[in-house]
Amino acid sequence: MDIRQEWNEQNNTWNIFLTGEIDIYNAPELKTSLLDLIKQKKGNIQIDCADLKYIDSTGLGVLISALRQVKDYDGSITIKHLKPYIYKIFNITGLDKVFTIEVQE
Amino acid sequence: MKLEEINIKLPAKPEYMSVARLTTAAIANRMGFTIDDIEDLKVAVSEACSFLIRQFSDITNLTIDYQIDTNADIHVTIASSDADVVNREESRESELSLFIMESVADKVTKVVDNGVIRGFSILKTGGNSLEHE
Repeated sequence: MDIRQEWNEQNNTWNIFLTGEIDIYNAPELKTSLLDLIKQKKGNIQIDCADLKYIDSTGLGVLISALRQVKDYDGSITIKHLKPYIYKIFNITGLDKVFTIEVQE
Repeated sequence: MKLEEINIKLPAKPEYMSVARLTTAAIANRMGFTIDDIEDLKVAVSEACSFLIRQFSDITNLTIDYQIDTNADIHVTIASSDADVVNREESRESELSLFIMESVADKVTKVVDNGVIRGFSILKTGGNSLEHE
């Protein structure tokens, strides 16, 4: 897994780019990174998943934790370019209704 | 009827979950499953392994047994042979694991011992070829 981030001052948004696989091994690293960004600037979060190959329940748990923190200051988390087979996991867990998601064509 | 069997034993450590997924995908691919079904089986097996690692402290190993039957269906049993493990309280992630497994597999049977989930048996149907090249 690789995490890259950029702060967009105009949109008050963290643009985050996730690459590879997120599972029980590296989800704690994702959690630390997201919480650290939220601590730096209380902005919205946009996660680009164009290069994300896999996410498991642990990774979903991290996203839910981050969403709770972001909602505390009325921010939002948007997930972009999610592959259809990964969107399926969001769909069956009902998280497609919790996050704003754009699926990759 | 059982036709072929593959067994692997892995350290019950998060860093080995990718090995479980790669092995599962390779076997499902060999059986002629569709890309979607390969992904489903990979997800189910990975979630079962993660569930057991999260749920038990002092767990040292995981065994994954793949049994392919004559209809090209696959039965995967994930368990630990550790006798003394301490069960933790079920987490939100473990609930998600169970939900995901049950949604992507054709059948999930919990292996329960004294009221504690000790493993899973996962069935995925729909393979179409076992011909040797």
